Amino acid sequence: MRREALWRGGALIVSGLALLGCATPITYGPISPESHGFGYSETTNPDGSHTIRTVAPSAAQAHEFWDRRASELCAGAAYRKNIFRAEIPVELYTGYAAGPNGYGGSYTEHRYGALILEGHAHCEGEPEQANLSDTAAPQAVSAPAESQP
Amino acid sequence: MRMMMGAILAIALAGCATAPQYPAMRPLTPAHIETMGATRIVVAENNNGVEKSWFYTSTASAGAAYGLVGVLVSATMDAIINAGPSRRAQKAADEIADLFPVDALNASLIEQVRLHTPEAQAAAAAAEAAAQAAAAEATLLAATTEGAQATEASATVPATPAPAALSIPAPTGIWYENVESAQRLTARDPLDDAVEISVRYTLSEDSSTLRVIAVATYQSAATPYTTPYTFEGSVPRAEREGPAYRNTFTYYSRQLEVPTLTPELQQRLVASIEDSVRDEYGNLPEEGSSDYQSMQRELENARDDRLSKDEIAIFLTREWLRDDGALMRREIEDAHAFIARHVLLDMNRTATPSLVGQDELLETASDRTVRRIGSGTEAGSYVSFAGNVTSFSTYGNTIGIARAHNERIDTLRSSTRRSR
Repeated sequence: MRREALWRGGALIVSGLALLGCATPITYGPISPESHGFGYSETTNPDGSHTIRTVAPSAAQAHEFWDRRASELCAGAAYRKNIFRAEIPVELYTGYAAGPNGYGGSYTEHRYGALILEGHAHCEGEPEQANLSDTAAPQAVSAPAESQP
Repeated sequence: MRMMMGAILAIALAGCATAPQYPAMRPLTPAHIETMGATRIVVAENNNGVEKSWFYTSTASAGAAYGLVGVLVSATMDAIINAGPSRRAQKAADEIADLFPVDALNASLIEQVRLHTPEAQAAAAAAEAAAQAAAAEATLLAATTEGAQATEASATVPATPAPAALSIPAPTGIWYENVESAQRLTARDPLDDAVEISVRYTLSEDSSTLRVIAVATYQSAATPYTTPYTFEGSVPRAEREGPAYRNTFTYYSRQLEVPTLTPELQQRLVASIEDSVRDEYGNLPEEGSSDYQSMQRELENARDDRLSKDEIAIFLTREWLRDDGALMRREIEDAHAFIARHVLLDMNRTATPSLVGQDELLETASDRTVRRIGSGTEAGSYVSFAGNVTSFSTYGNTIGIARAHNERIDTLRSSTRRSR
């Protein structure tokens, strides 16, 4: 009896520790292994604009991260914003549900994943340059039509 | 207790399972390009038509702890919860299929690919030159007539512009030689020495966005694939076989505006739900039946203060189909044009993608950008995004396929079985 109680206690501690990792608060910062996939990443385009991608657990937070990063990249200046991707991927999740008697069963189900937001930020005052890659044959090039944030 | 520990260990170990550590894209080599030249294009006939995505909600996690009883209860709950979304997705797919049967989708893609063959480009250039010459002649005629009628004898007559020279450069590298279609649903062997393009069309859960994904592959017994990626240890089996070329091209339509919930919209939603469950005599399901329970659940959801994605889809699917499907037709045409153009460009490109590269912005226009993904397993693939996206799109975990298309698929499968 005591041995089973010990097993049960041990299992609970292990599960608790495992779940602790999932409960880390989401903070603003670059996407890294430590950020659990949340945060922002960006690239600078040949025309001087920035492509910012944010990943967050909620739409509000995804937008907040995006706007904050755009503001940082534009050093506080106004910027034009064009979001071209706002997507919630569906992920396969496998879990284990414990019953009231200590036994239970595993399950697999789909869940909505983190929200991904991606778009161009064009800082006001930056010169606009045409940009095309080597492979893109003749096409009209202009800065993306963007709305004020 | 052992079971519990086993499950915890299994979950812990699941994190160790590794996804492929190399991009899925397979570029052609200069040797391939030199060998291929004029290449046959085969459009793999689409069979699903425009799919309507939806999210199958599972209560498995709630039932898993209660053994067999839990499984049975959660299966019943799942049936009730999912009846409405499933029926709506089916209805949307059926309505779209009425306007866009698979034959129309296939014909549109074939035509867009054909426009990139040297013959079609020469014909287009000739037509343009002829149009320019005709316009110049008309201008000259008009000016001459005006000049004759004018009192000033010194009226200047514009010189006739020289007709545009028909200089179509000889194709180099790989070019589309001809294009045909083939039914590949039950095909077991890859096509030899042909570029195969297969396409999927999926409406998002809320029907706000149409996603078109094309996969292009090329395989030839004469020029087998050699992986350009380096591996620690032995090369994985998946990288020792298969097509010499493979890439994915994704097109997202412009996003329709998601409607705002108003009392009027709520009433329309309730009416739409009731209409969708009425029998042929116009009666609602009998009280107590599972259809009745499902309807009640949908009505409860409709009367709450938020629009779910599949509720939004009821309204937005109609937007796509308005004016004989003009909007969807335009997006499909644009998607096919994007696919035809970028498959050709990409096959002539030998750069090997990297897991840690950077995205490349290929084209920017007022309302659209084309990017080549720079990192991860999708590196090297192409994505065409519409701009000014306002709401988050999802593509669910299930698709609704039109009844007409499902029947066609069944017929194809059974005829293949009979012939084997």
